[in-house]
This record gives sequence, structure tokens and C-alpha cells, in this order.
Amino acid sequence: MKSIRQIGNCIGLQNKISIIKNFFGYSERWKANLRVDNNFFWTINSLSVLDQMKHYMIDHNVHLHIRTGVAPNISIDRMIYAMRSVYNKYGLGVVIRSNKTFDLSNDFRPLDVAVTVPIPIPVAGVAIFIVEDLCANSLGTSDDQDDLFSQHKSGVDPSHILVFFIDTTDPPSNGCSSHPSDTPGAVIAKGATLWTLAHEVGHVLGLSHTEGILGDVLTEIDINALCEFDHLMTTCGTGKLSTNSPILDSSEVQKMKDSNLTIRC
Amino acid sequence: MVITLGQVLSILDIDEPRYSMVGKLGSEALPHLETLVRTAEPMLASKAAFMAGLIDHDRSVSILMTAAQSKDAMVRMAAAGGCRYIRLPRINDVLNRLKNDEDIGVRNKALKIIRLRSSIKQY
Repeated sequence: MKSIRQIGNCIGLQNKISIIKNFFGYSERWKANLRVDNNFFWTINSLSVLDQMKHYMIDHNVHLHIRTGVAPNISIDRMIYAMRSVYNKYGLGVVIRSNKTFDLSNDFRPLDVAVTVPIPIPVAGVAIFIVEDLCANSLGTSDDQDDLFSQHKSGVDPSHILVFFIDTTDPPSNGCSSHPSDTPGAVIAKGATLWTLAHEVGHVLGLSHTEGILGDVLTEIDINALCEFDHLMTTCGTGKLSTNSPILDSSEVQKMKDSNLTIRC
Repeated sequence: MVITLGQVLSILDIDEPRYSMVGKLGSEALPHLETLVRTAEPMLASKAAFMAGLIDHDRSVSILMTAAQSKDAMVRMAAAGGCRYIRLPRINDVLNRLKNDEDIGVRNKALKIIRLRSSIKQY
């Protein structure tokens, strides 16, 4: 079991520690607006978070900078809490280094994440267009992504992860982990699930989908047999996770801890 | 090949939809996409609208017009993005509606798509 001071040292805090400010990333004013969501399987309770951090042997941390252009349907607090519930049990802490809102330019509504070169193929006499989705295929970034990250990377350590909460992407997806090479990060759409943040940051830390890309598997029987609905990194939709505490494989945990975006302590 | 709603959902109702699978689905997916645009929550409805736009079919245009009349701006933005490549002239009716949308994000996207379409000569 670690002391609060040891945990503080682990996340780079040398002097006075504030649970609200340093562990949740909020200013003290946030306390006045604290609301407990009774529908959530854990309430927002700083003591329970601290308890988790004390009991799990956290030896690495991932540092997030939150930038909110559009508040998601599921609150950011809940997404962070859900992320911690998975990461913490494998010894990975989640530190919110900064938490700011920004005016999302209409130029980024929706945020373009596609290569706009169509590849038409005929299917039963009908032309089908394949659009290369940068998020799904790790093909790099769009001009929109480059501009968004560039506008907000100032003051963010290159070993930290920048997370944008935005309206929507084009093509639509819950989130997107492709990012400029010098600015690790992800975007999360308004309609994301409780687990999308944890899932996309997993991609940023080097994880692929548990089941691979599923190739051209299409039959429902095959899909249901292949999908691992207890894994955070399932390709089959984090909205369908069958557990309140999705898992990571030991090889995935090792990959995350080996990433230069997690900081050993 | 008969395509089921479950198959369409397995491609769309996930964090990063597998849009490239549209080639396996073909126009058989359109009835399901129409159902999703009409009845699903905005995130899933917007994914369905975009995928309909990858199939150059009369029914796709109708689906995109339905999406263009959604109450949710997210769905209307997806409708605009979905108009990229459809070659049927009727798609211009959808874009003309969206370029006058009340939401500036939708209007901007529609205008970008109109410019893109005019630059792609073969379509």
C-alpha cells in the first residue's frame, strides 16, 4: 500500500497536495458545483478514488490534458472515473494535468478525419465508394486534425496526452486516436460511450483492437464468436461491454508501461 | 445475399465503424440504414447516414434527405458528409437544403462538399 505522499511523488507533486486539484484536475471552485450522479456505479467520491490509488500498486502514470469544446452526453468525470477503474487495477495511474474549455471553431464541426479520395467499386451494378477513415486505419492525420492539435499543444509536455472533446467527426465515430507525430492525443465525440476515452487512450499508448480488425468477417455467428466483450480494446463496440470492469491482457499492460507516454514512478 | 440489421449494427454500432465493409453489404443494407436514420439515437443515426452515402443508389438519396431533416445537427452534418460521392443528380436537392441549414457547422460542411464535388470531374 502506498501513502498519499508516495502517490504524490509518483505524479510529480513535491509540495502541498490537493486531492481535488491534483488528482481530479479541477480548481477549488469545482467543489461548489459537485454533483453526485446516482446512476453511476460509483459516485464521484474523491476518497474512494484515493483509496483505489492507495490499494493498487500504481507504478506508472499517464498524464492527460483535457480540452473541452463540446461537453459529451456522458460526463467527462464519468469517463475519467471509468478509465481509472480499468487502468488503476493494472498499476497505471491517470493524472489530469489540465482541464480547460475552448471555443470549438465551426471549421471543426465536424472534424474531418477522412481521406477524400473515393475508390468506387461495383457491387451488383451499384457503385460503392470506400472512404479511407484515418482513425480506423492509422493512415496519418487530416488538415483539420493537424490544425486542432497545433492550436492547443502549447504548454503540453510531448510525453503527455492531449484529449479533445468535440462535436462529431467526419466520418462519424465515437473517437479517434490518430494524431500528429509530435503531439500524442485523441478526439472524443459528443456521442461517445462511457469507455471510449479509456479505449482511445489505449490506442494512443500503442494498443490495437483485441480481436484484430476482423477482416471482412460479416456473419453474426462469426462476429459473436470473435468479439471479446469483456476487453477494453474490443473492436466490437465499448457500448456493448458486458462488465463494469473491462480487462486488459498482460501483454497489453506491458505495452502500455513500455510506452514513452507512461511515466514510471 | 440477405443482410440483417445485426450485421449492419456490427459494423456501425462500434467505436470506430468499419465503413470499408460497405462493399460487403451493398445496397441490401439500405433498408436497415433507413431504419437507423429514422429511429436510432443521433450517434448511430449519423453513422448510418454516412454509410448510406457510400452506396450510389436512389434510396441512399432518400435516406440522406431524411437525415438532412433530423432535429440533431450531428445527424445533419453526417448527411452533408454522406453527399460526397453520390452521382445521382437528386443529391443536389439534399445539399441545397443543407447549405441553408440553421447550424453553421452543417452549412459549412455542405458548402465544402459542394466544392469537392465540383472538383471531382468524373462524378
